Amino acid sequence: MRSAVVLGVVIIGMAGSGLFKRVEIPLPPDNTPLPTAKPYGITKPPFGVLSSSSCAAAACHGGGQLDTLHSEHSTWSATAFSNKLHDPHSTAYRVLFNADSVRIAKLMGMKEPHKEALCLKCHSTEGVKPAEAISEGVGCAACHGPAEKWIDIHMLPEWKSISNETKFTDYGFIPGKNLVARTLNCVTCHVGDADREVNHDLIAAGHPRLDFEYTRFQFNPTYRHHWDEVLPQPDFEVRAWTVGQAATLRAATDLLRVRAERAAANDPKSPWPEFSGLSCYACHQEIGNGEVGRDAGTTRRPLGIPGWELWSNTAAGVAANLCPDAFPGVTPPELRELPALRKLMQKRQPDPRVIAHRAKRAVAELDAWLAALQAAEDKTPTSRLPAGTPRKFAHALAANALSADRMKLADSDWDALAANYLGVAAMYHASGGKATVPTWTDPIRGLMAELEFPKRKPGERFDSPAGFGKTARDRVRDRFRDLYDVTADPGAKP
Amino acid sequence: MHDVHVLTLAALLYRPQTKHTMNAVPSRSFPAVLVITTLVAVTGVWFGLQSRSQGEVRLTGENPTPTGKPISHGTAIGNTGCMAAACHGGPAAETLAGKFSEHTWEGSGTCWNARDPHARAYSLLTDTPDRPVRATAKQIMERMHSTIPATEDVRCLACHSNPSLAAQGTSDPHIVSLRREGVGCESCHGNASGWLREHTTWKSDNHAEYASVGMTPLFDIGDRAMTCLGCHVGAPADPARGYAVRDMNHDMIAAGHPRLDFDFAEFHRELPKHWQEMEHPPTGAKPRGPAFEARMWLVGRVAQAETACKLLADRAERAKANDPRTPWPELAEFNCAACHHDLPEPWRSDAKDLGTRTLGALRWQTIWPVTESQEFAAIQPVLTIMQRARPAGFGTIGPVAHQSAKNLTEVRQNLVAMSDAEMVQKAQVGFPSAVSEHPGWDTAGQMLWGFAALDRAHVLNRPIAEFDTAFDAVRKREWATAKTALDKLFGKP
Repeated sequence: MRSAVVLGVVIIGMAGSGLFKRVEIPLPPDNTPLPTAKPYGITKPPFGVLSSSSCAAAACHGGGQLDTLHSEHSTWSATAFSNKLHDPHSTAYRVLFNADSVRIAKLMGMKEPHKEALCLKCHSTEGVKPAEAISEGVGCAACHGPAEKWIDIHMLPEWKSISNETKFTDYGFIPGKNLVARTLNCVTCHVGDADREVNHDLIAAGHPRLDFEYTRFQFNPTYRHHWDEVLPQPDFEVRAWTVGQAATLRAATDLLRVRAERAAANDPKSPWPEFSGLSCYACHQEIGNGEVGRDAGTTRRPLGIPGWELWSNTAAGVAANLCPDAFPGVTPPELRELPALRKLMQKRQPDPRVIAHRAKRAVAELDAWLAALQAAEDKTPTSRLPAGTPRKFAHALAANALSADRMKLADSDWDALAANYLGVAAMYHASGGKATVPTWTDPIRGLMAELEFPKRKPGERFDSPAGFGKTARDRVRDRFRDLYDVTADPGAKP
Repeated sequence: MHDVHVLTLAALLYRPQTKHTMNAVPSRSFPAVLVITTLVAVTGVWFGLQSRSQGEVRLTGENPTPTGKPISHGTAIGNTGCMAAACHGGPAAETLAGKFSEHTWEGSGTCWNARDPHARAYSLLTDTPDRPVRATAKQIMERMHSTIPATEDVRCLACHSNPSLAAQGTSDPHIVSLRREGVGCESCHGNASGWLREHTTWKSDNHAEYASVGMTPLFDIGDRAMTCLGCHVGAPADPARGYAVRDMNHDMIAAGHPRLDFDFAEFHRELPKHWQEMEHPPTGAKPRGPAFEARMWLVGRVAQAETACKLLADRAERAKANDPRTPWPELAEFNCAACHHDLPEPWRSDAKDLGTRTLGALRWQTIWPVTESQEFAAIQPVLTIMQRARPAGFGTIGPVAHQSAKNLTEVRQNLVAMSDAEMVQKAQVGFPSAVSEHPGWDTAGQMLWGFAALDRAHVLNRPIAEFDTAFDAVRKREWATAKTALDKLFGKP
């Protein structure tokens, strides 16, 4: 009996000491209960889609002015005036006729891109009636929702008393005032979903990569808005950046789930792993001429394996940790599945079934976070955010870009650096820019100069950061260190 | 190791009962026995599950355990066995001056010691490489998270010293000392223990005699090419010779190892010769004919394709066997520039550049002209299964690559045997068809090597100016200029 006990102890001891097992990356268990809260705006309302021309009546939204109430369509449209500045969504269909689109279609084995469902899903308003209205591009219904149920009541007084959530679920109206509902809709095209994706084949054919970051798109100087934001700066930009991070990551993770499920079902049209979910320039760089850029960062991925979705993952952690500062009362979300998913995607041939399962769990966690942010958005804020909030975010992002001792970059991948940079740029503008935070200007301009793609002759361009070697990365590290210093809390004791 | 543990525990469990009969299990210790049996079973099952996990790459410093089987092709003696002053260590002044004769063999060792770059091979694994390197072995091993230095790792030793010594561990100082000779005499000529004394009396080049004692026949340029390619491209393990697998893969390149960019004829031309190059027909030795350079080149390219197919098949088999040192998919199978290019717009050539590949399918390695011309039918099955959006799995690739390698062996042997006139005709007719519409770095570089070799053989008469133009344009990656110059070189209208 005693020797049996000793034997048992020996076995347990050996198992515990790891003598039996290979060194494994510990993953959280994949069967713990998940949060169930979901934001509204992730499903498609099953109502009829009306064309933009139905909104553009002169007495409704087609008033014939610019930048005034009741002239939203006239402001938005590229053709209402000969004004050069318009909403780029209005030309989304027209771009399908240009030389680039024709060449892409040819390489994809398609005939006419303006007739292909693959293109029209994003480049027009899906399901619009009449069918000819696809020429309106990404029209009103694409962002405001199918109008069948609300076209006749949205101008009546009782519309204002209906909650945003009811507007969506019962009427199919996407409440743009709620940033979560707004961005969850943007990412269906700008990142992709189960019906729409820009994968590596399409990019190889010539389609630009989808590098969506909400505040960068929102504040693009060529984007003429047909609305005014209710929330003032800097609160708006801080919230918009945070929500944008969450929504983009959610869409990217759900797209991974969709792709993994297709691969697990052996769909011949679904390559696995799908390259467009990986960091582009980890592969797409010339090699052999210059120094190794990877050594500039402390993040070590397995050799030969690009990181998964560094673009949407890198700064999302900062958004998660600091969201109470943007949305008082919201607690930072528990995002346990995402690190597990990132590790699993670092395998050379990740099992699509495992990835699909884990991605689904990660999406559930992100949905709970988005639901909390959405509820906070639906409440009118009772007070403004403290004045130093953008600075706090910028400081956290600069720290995020650097290693713990700030002697090296955290991750030397271009996508990771760009994600941190764009966040800092958003906070710079939120703070008031050069007028209010002049010390930030030089480091940010320096970052932009290092990260942007090199110039070429007119008519040509680079779609990758050619020549972005170790020297350039060292300069990026120095700019982030400068930013870390100038964004430090002025009231904190040294 | 794990099997032994489980068995030992099971044996420990099964102790004869001393006090009670064999039939009656004492109720007192029964629960304990049950618990322990369950523990053992669970451990065994869990461990079994671990072994079967697919697709996990574990880059470790652990060398594979040697099989301990005896090798039939002799053991290594070392360069000292060749270098006696009366054997191959004699004066080599003439040879070093480029004058070859029937006395060249007397000084081959001296010549090799003086000038051959293979002597440096082992030093590149140490902290004191004999020539400047961009990435040191230490840096490479660090990036691979290796727990052992390059001088002890079979992956490195297999090519950087005699391949038969690579898997023999580091405890024997004699073995370590032999490795320091780099890629020495026996690495190419075969381990000498079987023929050291005998070969001093041979007068003819008896192929069978060589093979039976383990001396590698190098006078047949096909066999010579395959010997070089074993390290310069890679090769499966050869248990008969005790050779470890030679596979320099994408993980090692990502860690900093230079990629293997080999051309048999060009490397051969640059190698300081320590022998007199002669033909060996039955009528007796005579100097090589003028078309020799062209044949070297063409045979070399076919042998390279053959070696690549054999390595691909071997990688597939190792991946199937879940070898932790074989990543799959192996990215080094593909053309580097298929992924590794900046994205200048417009950069994508039109649909013609894709050829039969689907969009997004990676180009398998360029071995011009074999992979670029329809004339070499033997390689086409490999190209078909590799150049797809989803290349075939390791189960399918193995047999296809094996078969292609076999067919290419036949092509190679025919090329070695055919007459000069026939071989030259093949070169003159075949190459213009393989000149690519859209030469990339590898294609253009290999075309230029080919042109240089054919020019040395005087089988293509083209003005040298076009060669310089093409070479410069390729170096600067000015593809339009390069294409025009290459077309002129190869006589395309």
